[in-house]
Amino acid sequence: MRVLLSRLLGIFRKAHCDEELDMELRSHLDLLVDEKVRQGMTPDEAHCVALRSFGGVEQTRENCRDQRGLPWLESFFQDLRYGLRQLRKNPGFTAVAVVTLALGIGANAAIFSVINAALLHPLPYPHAERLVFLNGAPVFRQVPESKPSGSLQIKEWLQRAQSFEETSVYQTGEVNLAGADLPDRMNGADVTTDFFRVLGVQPYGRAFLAEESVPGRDHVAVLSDQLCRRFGPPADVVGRSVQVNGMEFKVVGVMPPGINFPGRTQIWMPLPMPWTFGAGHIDANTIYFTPIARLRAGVSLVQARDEVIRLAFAGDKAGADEARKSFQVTQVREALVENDRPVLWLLLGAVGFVLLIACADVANLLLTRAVVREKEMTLRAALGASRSRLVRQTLAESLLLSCLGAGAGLLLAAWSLAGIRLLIPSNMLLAAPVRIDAPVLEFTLAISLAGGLFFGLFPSFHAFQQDLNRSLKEGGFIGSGDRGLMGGARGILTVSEGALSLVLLIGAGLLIRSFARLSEVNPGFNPQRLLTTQVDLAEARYRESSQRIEFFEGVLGRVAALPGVHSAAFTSNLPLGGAVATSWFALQSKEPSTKVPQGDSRFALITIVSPAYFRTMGIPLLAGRLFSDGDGDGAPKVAIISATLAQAYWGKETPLSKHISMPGPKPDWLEIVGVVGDTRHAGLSAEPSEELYVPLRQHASIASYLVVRTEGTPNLIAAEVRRALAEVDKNEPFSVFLTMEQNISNSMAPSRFRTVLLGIFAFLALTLAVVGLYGVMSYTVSRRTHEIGVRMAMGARRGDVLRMVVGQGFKLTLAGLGIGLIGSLALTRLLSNLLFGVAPFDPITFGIASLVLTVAALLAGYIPARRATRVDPMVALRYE
Amino acid sequence: MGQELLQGTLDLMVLKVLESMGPMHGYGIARRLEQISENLLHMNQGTLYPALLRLQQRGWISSKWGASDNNRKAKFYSLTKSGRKQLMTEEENWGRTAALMQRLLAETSG
Repeated sequence: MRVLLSRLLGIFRKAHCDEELDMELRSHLDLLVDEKVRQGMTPDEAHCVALRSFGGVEQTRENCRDQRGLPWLESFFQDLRYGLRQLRKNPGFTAVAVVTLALGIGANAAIFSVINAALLHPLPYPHAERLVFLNGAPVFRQVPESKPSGSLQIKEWLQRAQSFEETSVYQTGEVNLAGADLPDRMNGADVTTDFFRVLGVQPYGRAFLAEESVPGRDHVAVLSDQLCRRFGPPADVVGRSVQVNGMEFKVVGVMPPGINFPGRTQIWMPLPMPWTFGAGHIDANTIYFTPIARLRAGVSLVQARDEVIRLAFAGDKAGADEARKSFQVTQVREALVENDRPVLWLLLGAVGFVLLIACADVANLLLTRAVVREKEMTLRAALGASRSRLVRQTLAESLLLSCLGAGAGLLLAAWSLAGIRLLIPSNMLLAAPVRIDAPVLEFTLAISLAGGLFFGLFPSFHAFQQDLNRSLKEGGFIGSGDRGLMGGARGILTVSEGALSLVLLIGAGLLIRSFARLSEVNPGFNPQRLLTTQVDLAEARYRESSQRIEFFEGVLGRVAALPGVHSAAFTSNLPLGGAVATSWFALQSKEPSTKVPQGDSRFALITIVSPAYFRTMGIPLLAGRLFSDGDGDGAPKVAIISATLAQAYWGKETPLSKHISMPGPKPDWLEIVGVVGDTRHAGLSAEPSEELYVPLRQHASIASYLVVRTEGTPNLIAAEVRRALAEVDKNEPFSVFLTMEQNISNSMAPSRFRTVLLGIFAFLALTLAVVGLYGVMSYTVSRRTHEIGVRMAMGARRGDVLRMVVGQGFKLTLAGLGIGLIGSLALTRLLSNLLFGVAPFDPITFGIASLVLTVAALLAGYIPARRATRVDPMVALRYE
Repeated sequence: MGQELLQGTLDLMVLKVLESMGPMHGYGIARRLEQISENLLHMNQGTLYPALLRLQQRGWISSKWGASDNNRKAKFYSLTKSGRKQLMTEEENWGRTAALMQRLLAETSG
C-alpha cells in the first residue's frame, strides 16, 4: 500500500525526483573519481574507470524511474496517447465506431434513466419499504358498518392490528380551487388526520390535528409545494385561506417539494368523519377509500396479512381461507410500479440487445483493422514488445473508443429524453425526475467499460495468436478469405447480430400489431368530433339536487344552441376518460331470473346521464327507448342497460320492463326501459363492462363530464363552450377541454410508450446489424480481390462471382435467422401480457420480421458483391 | 548469480551494511559491499540505486542530504525502526534457507 502510494507520488513529482537522482548519481561518480585520483590516476583516466565500475548511468536512471513510478500506469497513458493518435489518423473508422457505440450506449442510458426514476430511486419517505396498501373488499365487508360511512371504522379497526405502526385511509378526486388567479381544477386527497404520520412526512407549518376530522372544524388544508408557490413562499401562505369547491379552507401546512402522494395530489384535506358526501344519492353505496398503513419494523407482509385476516374472520376458517386469496398487503412502491416494471425491464433488455449488436459491430471493425495493422504489431513484437503489452495496447484503444462512444451516447440520451418524457404515460409512478444523474452516469460508465473490454478482446486474441515469422514473411496483405480463429470470430459476431436483431424485430412487430389491433377496437361510440370536459359542482352552492339539475340544464341549453354544436350531454362516467372504479354496485333483480339468483352481488358500472347522452356519443339503441325529459322527479324510476349486462342477467329473455336495484335494506327498484350497445370504459383492451345508465333528472350527482358533439373541429368551439358555462356560473371552473380522440390517445399511452420505443430499438438494431454485415462483406471482398481476379481470369462469369459473394453473406444471415427464430420463440412468451389480439407466436409477425431481415441482409451483401464483379482480372492479378 | 537471487540478497546486504556501519551514502555502501565480498561480488555499482529506492519506498531506510568525508554533497541512508525489524526477520529467513540448502546439498552429494 505504502509502496503504491509513494509510487503514485513518484508519477506526479517526476521532474523533482529526476533532478535529485541525477545529483545523487553525480555525487557517487565524483566520490569514485576522487578515490581513483587519490590512488594516482589522472582525472580523465579516473573518470573512465569510474564510469565502467558504475555500470550504465542511463540504465540505472531508467531502472530507478521504473522502480519509482508505476510503469504499467505510465505505459497505459502511453497506450492511450498512442491510441488517440491512431483514432485521429483514421477519422472514418473512428466516426463509424463512435456513432455505433453512441447509439447503443445512448439508448441504454436513456432507458436506464427512466428505470432509475421509476423503479430504483427510493420514494421520498423514510423507510418507504414499510408503506403498504391493503387491498381486498371481502375483508372490509366484515368490518361492522363499513358502508357507507365506515371509513373511520375501517381505520380504527385496522389500528387494532399489531402489525401496523400507523394506519390511514384516503380518497382522491378533483377539486375546484379558486384563489389567486383563475379558478382551476386539480387533484385533491381527503385523508384521515394521521395520513402524514403514515407517510412519515412533516409538512411545513403543521399536519392535521386529530380533532380536525370533526365536521365544522375540517376546513383546513395542506398544499403541495408546487401549488403553494403560486400564492407565494410557504411562510406567507400558511395561515391564509383558499377557496376549495366554493368553501373557505385555511392553509395550515405545505408539503416538502416533490411529494404529491397519492398520484399527483396538490391539496390535502381532512376526511370528515362520519362521511356524508353523497349520502342519500346513488353514490352512497360505494367504498371510496384506500387504506394505507406503515408496518412496524420487522413485520413481514405475510405476517400483516395473516393478522388482518385473523381479526376479520375470527373463528370462520372457510371465510379466512377465501379471504386469503383476495386480500393483499402490498408495498406501496410495488403496487404502484406493478404494471410498468415488466415493460421497463423489457425495454432495458431491448437496448441491451442493441448495445450487444453495436459492440459486435465495433469488434468486427477492430478485427478488420487488426488485420490491416498486422505488420505494425508484428514489428512491435519483433522489437521486443511483450504480448501482454500488445494486448494492453489494443485494449487501451478499445476503451478509448468506448469512452468516446459513452460521451456521445450521453449527449444522445439527454437529447432523446425530451421525447421519451412525452411518451411516458402520465400514470407511471416516477420517484424522481427522468434525467441523466449520478446513477445513470455510473451505469453508463459500467456498460461502456464492459463493452470496451468485450470488443477489445477480439483484436487482442488476434494479437495473441499471431506467429511472428509467418506474418513478417507473408508481407501482410495477400491472402485468401479469412480462415481460422479470425474468420470464425467474425462469423460468430455477424450471426449473433442477425439473431439479436431478429428477436427485436419480432418483439417490436408483435407490439406494433397489438397497437394496430387496439386502434381498430370499436369503443362502442363514435369518438370523432367530440369535445369533453369535466366539472365538479361546488358542494356548498349546489347542496340541493334541484340546484344541480338547474345548472346542468342551463349549460346544456346554452351549449346545444351554439352554432356548430350538434348535441351536448352530461355523464358521470366518461368512457376512456380516466378513473371509473368508484361506482361499481351490486345489483339484484326483482323478477326471478334464470341466471342470477336473488341477492347475488353482481357488479355493474353505473352512469348518470342526461337524455341526449346516447345520441351525442353515438351509442346505438338496441331495444326499448332512450331517456327523455319526462324521466324526472315524479315519474317512475327508469334505467337503461348495456347489451353485456342484458346478456348476463337475462340471456335470450327481454330485459325490458324488468326491475333491478342495488342490494340494501330498502330496494329502490328501477324499471329497465332500453338496451344500448356496449362501450369500453377502462381501456380499449379491457372487456366491455356491464353497464347501467340512470337519468340525470332522477339522480343528480355532483361530478360530471360534459360531452359535446360538434360539426367541425371540436377544439375550435371550446372557447364558446367555456363562455356558455361562465354565463351559467362564472365561478364554476372546468378542467381542460379534450377531444374524445385525445382521451382515447391518452388511454393508449402505455401501449404507445412501449410500442414506439421498442420499434425504434428494433430499427436501430436492424440498421446496426445490416451495417455490420455490410462492413464484413466489403472487407471480405477486398481481401479476396486477388482470388476473384483469378477466378474471373479462369472464366468465371459475373453472375458466378455475385452468387458466390452474396451466398456467403446469405449463409451467415440464415444462421442468424435460425438462431433468432429459436430465441424469439423462447422470448416472446414474456411479452404475452403486453399483447392484444395477437398471439406471442404470431406467424405473420415472425414471417414479416424474417423477411425484413433477409432482404436487408441481401442488400448489405449485394453492394459489395457488385463491387466484386467489377474486379478487373488484370488489375487484381497485378495487385500481388 | 541469477538476477532474482541478487535482488533479494542485495536488499538484505544493504540493510546489514547500514546496520553495522550506521548512516552511509550510496558510494560508501557500494565500497563496503565490495570490501566484504572481497571482490567475489561483481556488481555494477549502479544496480544499488534501484534497490535503495525500493527499500526507501517500503519504509525500511530513510535518506537525508549531507556532506561526505571529503566535503562533497551526498545522500546519506540510514536504517529505520521497521527496517531494523525487517532485517531481523530477513536474517532469520536467510539463516533457515542457508541451513536447509546446506543439509540438502550434503545429503545429495553424500
